[in-house]
Amino acid sequence: MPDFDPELYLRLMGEQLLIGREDRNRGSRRPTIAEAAAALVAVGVLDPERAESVLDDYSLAATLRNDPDFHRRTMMRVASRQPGESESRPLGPRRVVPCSRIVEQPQATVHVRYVSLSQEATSVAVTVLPDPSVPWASGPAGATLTDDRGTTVSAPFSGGGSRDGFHGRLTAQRPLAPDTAWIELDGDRLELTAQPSRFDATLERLPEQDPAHRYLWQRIAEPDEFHENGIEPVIDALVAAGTLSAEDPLLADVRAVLDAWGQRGSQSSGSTASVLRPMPEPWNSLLARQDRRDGPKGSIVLGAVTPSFDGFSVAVLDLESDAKGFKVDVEVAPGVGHRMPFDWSVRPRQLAWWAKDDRGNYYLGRRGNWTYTDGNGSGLIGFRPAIDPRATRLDLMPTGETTRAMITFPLPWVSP
Amino acid sequence: MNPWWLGLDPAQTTIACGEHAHRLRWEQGALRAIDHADPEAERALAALGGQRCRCVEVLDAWSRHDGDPRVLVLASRGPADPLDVRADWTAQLGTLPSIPAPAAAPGLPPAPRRQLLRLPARQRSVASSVPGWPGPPAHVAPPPTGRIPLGSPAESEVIALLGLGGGVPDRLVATVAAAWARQFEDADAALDGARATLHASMHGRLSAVLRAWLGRTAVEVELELIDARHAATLSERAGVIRAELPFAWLAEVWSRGLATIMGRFCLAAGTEDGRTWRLTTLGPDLGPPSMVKVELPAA
Repeated sequence: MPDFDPELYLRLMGEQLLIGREDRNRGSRRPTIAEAAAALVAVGVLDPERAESVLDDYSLAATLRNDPDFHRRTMMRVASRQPGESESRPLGPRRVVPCSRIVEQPQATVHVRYVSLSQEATSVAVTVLPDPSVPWASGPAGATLTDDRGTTVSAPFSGGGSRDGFHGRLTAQRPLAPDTAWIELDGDRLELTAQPSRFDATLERLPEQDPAHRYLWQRIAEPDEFHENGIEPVIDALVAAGTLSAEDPLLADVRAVLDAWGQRGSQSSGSTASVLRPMPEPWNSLLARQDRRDGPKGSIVLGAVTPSFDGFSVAVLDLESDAKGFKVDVEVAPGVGHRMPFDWSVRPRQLAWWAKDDRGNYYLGRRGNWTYTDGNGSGLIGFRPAIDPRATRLDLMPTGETTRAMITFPLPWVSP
Repeated sequence: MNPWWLGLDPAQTTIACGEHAHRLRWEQGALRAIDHADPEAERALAALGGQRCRCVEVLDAWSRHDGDPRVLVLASRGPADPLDVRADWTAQLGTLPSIPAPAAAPGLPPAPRRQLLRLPARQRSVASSVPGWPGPPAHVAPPPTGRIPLGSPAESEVIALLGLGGGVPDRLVATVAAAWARQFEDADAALDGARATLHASMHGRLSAVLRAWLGRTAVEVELELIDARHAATLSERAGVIRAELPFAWLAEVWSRGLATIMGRFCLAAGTEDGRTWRLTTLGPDLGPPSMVKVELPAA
């Protein structure tokens, strides 16, 4: 495709956006021009700076035409250029202590799941169940934490949820002693004696793959609830650039997977019935089990921290499994491992969250509640389908562009 | 050679300059602050620590962006594509650091300002009544009510210029289009970095014209930029309108409001004196072109 001009291709999409007023009311979803831009960058036919420049141009042009979504995007871009942005550092080791404990407070029941201690930070993972009889205008209040040296600090709550329950962390405003024997939460003492589950954390290089194929599968797997429905502009751009044939049989697979898995995670209306033929792995096992409701109920505290890979480091703190799926509490450095609403960056700095068990089943995670602090992100990754009750081992695989981490640990609710 | 601005009426707007309402007037290719007797002296005073006045800031911004292709990206594509101007965007000019060098769109080479300086517009000719197409009436921009988030002082300047009233932004677009048409004529190397921007911004304007003219909101348009010495054409095949036009069409036809006339699409416009115009046009059946002659009354 010697005559293909990727910048002109994007700019013509931008013109359609302006004169056709197309792609309006998209909310925080990425517009088609941004989907195409990211795809062209990912397969190496367009320089990321040039792509961002085109997006900047048309975002500002749309803002001048009172497109509120582009206005927000422009604001985010401008804000991200401001000096003083926090620099992210790779995550360091921490002491993570399981601590299954119920603390009754005047307006809520607090379930303490674990305590994380390092030289840099102290946090207590909690699930807060508000007292339904008490009017409560806002989210959970913070708490006061005290260590065995007598240091007392306040710890505001961060996380998300509803009146049915809030999931998050109480993070001390300055770190407590990492080797403290106990912590008091608003005067309730938590003995820190339990040990987390054992695990192995390694890195694995991804096999070489056609760039267009890799990007299409990556795009489907991204934990990106803010940026749905973007695969057709991606396909159009890759075909126009000559990096993908419109007749490539992979396209039928991609569309079938999307149809079956949906792009909306647990809200998907997709069903396995729409898949008429075997899909390539890992999708085949994922789709085959997506409606299962037989997951084991239980939790595992890990405290695993990966080495750096593709510019990221990941800490996996705990896992909670139920009949429909499982949630993993993670930290990611830098926090750009996940895009925020209206962030239409073209750089493929995203992590996909895969997992597999020792029975050959795959699982795919999507971001849930998410918090950014000091350049790092933390929150929940919700995986589907439910863990196979016969599985005895799980590999969590946060996956970058070229490399994935593997955090391997036994599943304690199954007797080996 | 005719001045590029022949056929473009004067345009005028009023902005808040200090505590006064001052007029900015575009005429014969140049923007002037007509309520300031000696802008150069005011610049010199400001350089010595005096207060810069808003009118001179706008003039300076104009001179930095009269060859900036980003103007064509951000500005209106025509009557169906108005910008949402609800504030005096010139109010942002004094709030960001000044720009030491000529601005250009991010990632693009500097705009060819040296070549622009050779345009007749820069000759500071005596203001006089110019025959041509009537422009919008002058108006006073409303007071500031909000701000566009901007990534750079250059963006701030372009937005401020596009927020001026009275048809002045249209004259900026015409100025930039004429400058780049000259670059196309000369096959200037500066085109390489701006070609996609220029091509797309003309494509958008052409598409907007064709949609309105043909009454087809989803018409697909292909544009090939041709040498200005070749004949412009417009044809349709398999539902796709294919246009072969020089980039000069944007300056010579679109900017003058001649893209459609008498229900016909204008491929090219020529004049010797700015009063008598020969327009190469074709009808909605995209049949053979016909010449339309337009004469404006003497001033």
